[in-house]
Amino acid sequence: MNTLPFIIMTVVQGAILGITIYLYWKVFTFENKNNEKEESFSDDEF
Amino acid sequence: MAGGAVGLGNFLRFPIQAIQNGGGAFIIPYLVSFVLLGLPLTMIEWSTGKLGGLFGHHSPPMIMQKLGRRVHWRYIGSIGLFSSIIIASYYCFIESWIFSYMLHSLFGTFDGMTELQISDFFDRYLNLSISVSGIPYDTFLSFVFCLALNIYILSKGIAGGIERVAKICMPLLFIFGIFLVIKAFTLKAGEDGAIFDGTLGLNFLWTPQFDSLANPNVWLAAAGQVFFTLSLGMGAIQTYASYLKKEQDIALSSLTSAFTNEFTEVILGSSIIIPISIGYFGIDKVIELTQSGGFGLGFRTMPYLFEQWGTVFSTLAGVAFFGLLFFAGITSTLSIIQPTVAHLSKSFDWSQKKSSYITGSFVFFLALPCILFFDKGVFDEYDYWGGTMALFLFAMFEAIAFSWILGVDKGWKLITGYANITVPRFFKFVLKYITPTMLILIFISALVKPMNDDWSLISIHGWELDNNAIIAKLMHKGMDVNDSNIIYIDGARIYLLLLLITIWLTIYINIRVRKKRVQKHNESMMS
Repeated sequence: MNTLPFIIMTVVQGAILGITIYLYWKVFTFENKNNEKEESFSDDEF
Repeated sequence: MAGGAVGLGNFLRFPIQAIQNGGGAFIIPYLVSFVLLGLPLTMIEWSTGKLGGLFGHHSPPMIMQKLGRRVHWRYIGSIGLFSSIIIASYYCFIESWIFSYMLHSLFGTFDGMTELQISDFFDRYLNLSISVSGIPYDTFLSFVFCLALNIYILSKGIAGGIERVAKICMPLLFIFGIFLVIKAFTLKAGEDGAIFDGTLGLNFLWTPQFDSLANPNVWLAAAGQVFFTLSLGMGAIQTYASYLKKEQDIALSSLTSAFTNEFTEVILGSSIIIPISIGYFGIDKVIELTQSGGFGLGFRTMPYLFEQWGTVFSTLAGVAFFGLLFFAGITSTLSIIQPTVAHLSKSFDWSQKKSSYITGSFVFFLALPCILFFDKGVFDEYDYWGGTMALFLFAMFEAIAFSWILGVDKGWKLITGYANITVPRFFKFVLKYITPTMLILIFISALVKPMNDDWSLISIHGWELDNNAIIAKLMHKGMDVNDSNIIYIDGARIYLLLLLITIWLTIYINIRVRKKRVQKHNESMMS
């Protein structure tokens, strides 16, 4: 594979993989905390 | 929702779109569209869906009315139903191809076939006058089975059960996908029947071509692919999110769903069919194969790759690949059909069962021309108007309503309220200015794109439209007037227009019925 496309592919795919793993880590960390949240907005505002 | 988003768009549509639009010419607009359009619109759809749900609205027209604050927004919201039902019709048809290919892999139909024979098999499969299995009208019967299966699942309200099965199938699809990526990367000319290295396809996709940045049609195709793959612009996400509770997070959920989809598409989807098909056929032949009959490339190439692994492994690989893809397809179809079911159910107070059957009938009759006249360009018309244009239009109106009518400050509250993650504030700016402006600019420039993309010529030679401009397409510019396909293409367009009018009619009737009900209620209160 040529150098430029290889670099671009690696950077793009690496970034997507990294962000996806980070988001799943967040999902598993926060999974059971939904009930502890305070009121963030009121229905009347909309 | 990630189960619904991951589907045929990742593995089958993305490679075709990338090849049709020049490989490296497509990837930059695609990635930019994902960040500046896809991610913001994902957040918009999740938040507006949740907002609608808080006020008892579960279908795109009602949610859009809530957002736009005027009754005409309900008609604009119908574009979401229009796109979802068109996509459902041909998506279900593709699902039936996958189902049939799974059975053909199981029964060894592809054993001993050359790459050209396997490619031709796909054409014969789609020709209704030929039976590839010995059962008359097998292509049509397979479609009826798949549609019936989807409608049965929806009518019984067991989509949740399917989602649970998908949770097992999805990781298996990923694992098998990674295995295929390795095979594609290591495909060498002269080995396993390949005539080129698999990396030739990767070079084709990942070598950037910056001149494409000035081509609005590539932008339109790239944005269309982002919307299709993220299930944006079809009301599926809004309908799903409308059932969420107020205190449930949407920021983390929407971003996770979007990135799971991108992982599947950019890492797996881009690295399987493109290098494998180019390895077996070469770039020119693959471009020729993708000129019509979108989605077909995987069916023309993957069975041949599997055939190189011996009888037992080819059977296992074919059943695994098409079987897992079939499950991914079902979860997506269910989420695509659901907005129409919700619309009918809410508009006419019909049960889930009745709404599902009526939606199924709509999908059936809508899919008929697609199946009967596939080779006349009808399928591509459906994909262009329903799977690209309608998605784009709905997304554009949605972004305008969210950012400029509801107001980005309120919208930002919806996105970040109860969030399990901090959303970068950069997106607030993008939501307010970049996303709506970009959508409007791409749409207008694709509508009236000048000949050969040369905008400088406009002032000198007048405004000659390019053959790919939307208006030029409507007028069949560049087509031979004696082309026998024109009548089928026009017929398909009229059919789609009638569908849109029918949806508007259901909205109009619903508004009238509700007005009468309110009047009656008021009268009874007065008396």
